[in-house]
Amino acid sequence: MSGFLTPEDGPLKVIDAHAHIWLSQAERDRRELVEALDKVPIERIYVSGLHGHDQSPDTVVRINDAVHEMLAADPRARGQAYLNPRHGQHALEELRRCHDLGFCMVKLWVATRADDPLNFPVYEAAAALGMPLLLHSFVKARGQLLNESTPWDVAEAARRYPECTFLMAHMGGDFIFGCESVAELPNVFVDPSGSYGEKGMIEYAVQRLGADRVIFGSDMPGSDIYHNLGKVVGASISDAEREAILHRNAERVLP
Amino acid sequence: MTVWMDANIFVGQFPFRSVARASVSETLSRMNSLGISGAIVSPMEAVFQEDSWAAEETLAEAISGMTQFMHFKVVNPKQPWWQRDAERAVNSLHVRGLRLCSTYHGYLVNGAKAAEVFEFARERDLPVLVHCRMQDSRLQWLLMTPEADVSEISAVIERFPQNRLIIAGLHFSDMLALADLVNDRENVLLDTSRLKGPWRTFEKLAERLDLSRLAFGSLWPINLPECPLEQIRNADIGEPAREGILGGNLARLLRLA
Repeated sequence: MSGFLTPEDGPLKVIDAHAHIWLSQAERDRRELVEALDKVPIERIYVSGLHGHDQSPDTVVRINDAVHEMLAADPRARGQAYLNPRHGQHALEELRRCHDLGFCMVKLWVATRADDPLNFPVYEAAAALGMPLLLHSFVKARGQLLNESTPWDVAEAARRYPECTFLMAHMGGDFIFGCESVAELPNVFVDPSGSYGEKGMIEYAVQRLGADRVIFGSDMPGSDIYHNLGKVVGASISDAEREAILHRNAERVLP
Repeated sequence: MTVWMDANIFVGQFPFRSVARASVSETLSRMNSLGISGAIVSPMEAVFQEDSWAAEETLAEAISGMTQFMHFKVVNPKQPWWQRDAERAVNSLHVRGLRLCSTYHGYLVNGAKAAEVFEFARERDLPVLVHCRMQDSRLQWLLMTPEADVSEISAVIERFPQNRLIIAGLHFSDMLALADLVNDRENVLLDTSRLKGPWRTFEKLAERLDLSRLAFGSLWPINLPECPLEQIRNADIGEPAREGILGGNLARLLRLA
């Protein structure tokens, strides 16, 4: 590999484990995700819906329906059911509804922190259904959101639920905090989406976690997938490690 | 075909990340592998060391004879001797421009201290590279710094219309906010080092911003050049605009063409 996604290199196989449809602009987001699927191209994309930090049960249903519309239209799309664990029984019912609709993962954002006991029934249900969980995590020196999970919140959840498979988004925000927090937890994978392309971030994750625990994600459409691909393309890692991150790990770990 | 140039690199060690470092040879090797033939460069140590002259001198010696590098001197206008050193750098180190890192040096880019630098640069016809921000503020665990916001940058552009300016570190939304102001300013460029989104970043910018106001800049070795390069290379903006961003616009501003 020369380090570029040029046609002469041949297209790289890419699976994107982290993309969104925002309810307020669902039609545009669906259109843009399909554009990216075709243009990059992306073999498979995992999509979750989002809308505000704390939603009503009805809104959660509409969020997931907006994703389902894409799943029904494009076989390359896989669904991550967005849940608000504060909704208790409704969250579990919504999980089962989404599972029956074909969603294969769960997405939790900033309604609760990853180690909140409100999440525990969701983790147990996801494990029973064989659905890995994409957990938002971003530790910040300033501007931490209410109920925004840190990497050590994710680590705490992963220790408590070794039967669950967790994908920690954004490498926990700060890749050093993120990797160090989950290094000893083989049921936690990380995605490098969303943040800026820092020199050394992918190498650090490969060194501390192993290349088989890094799964590519873009955080589209708010982020540009090409910026995120640049992180992997520009990393000083082997071609086998690059392929593992861009698609092989997702093929192995994600439904 | 336009020569590709990076408007925003450093060599040396960024103090808050051990991995954010690069020597001249590593930087040159990276540039060569990516097809980048020119770069504005400064020593990272000159941002963070009080006695920054030694770092400037060391860099000048290290890149002596290397036509790929255009040395911009880091200026801290809060140091009373900055004009003396800047004059020396122009005359003896043959620097091609000045670089302001106000967030680490504790002054406003639209304040009186920075104004002295812009006047100095204008009188000598030197371009000035102005950093709004460098490290992601959310990751500043050891030293929290302020950032230059759009209103401060706007004030600089309006107050110094004759200066050649490269503004580094603007976000996508910042660029949209500045578009009306800079679209007619051929002597102002905005770098790409903080453009991580949204999807189709450059196509969406083009709806408001004249793309000839953009210059590829990476903020190496804090960030990877591959990230903005992948975005630019894959943007559906037409070859003239792409070549301009990758080097032509900067060459025009620096009068290299």
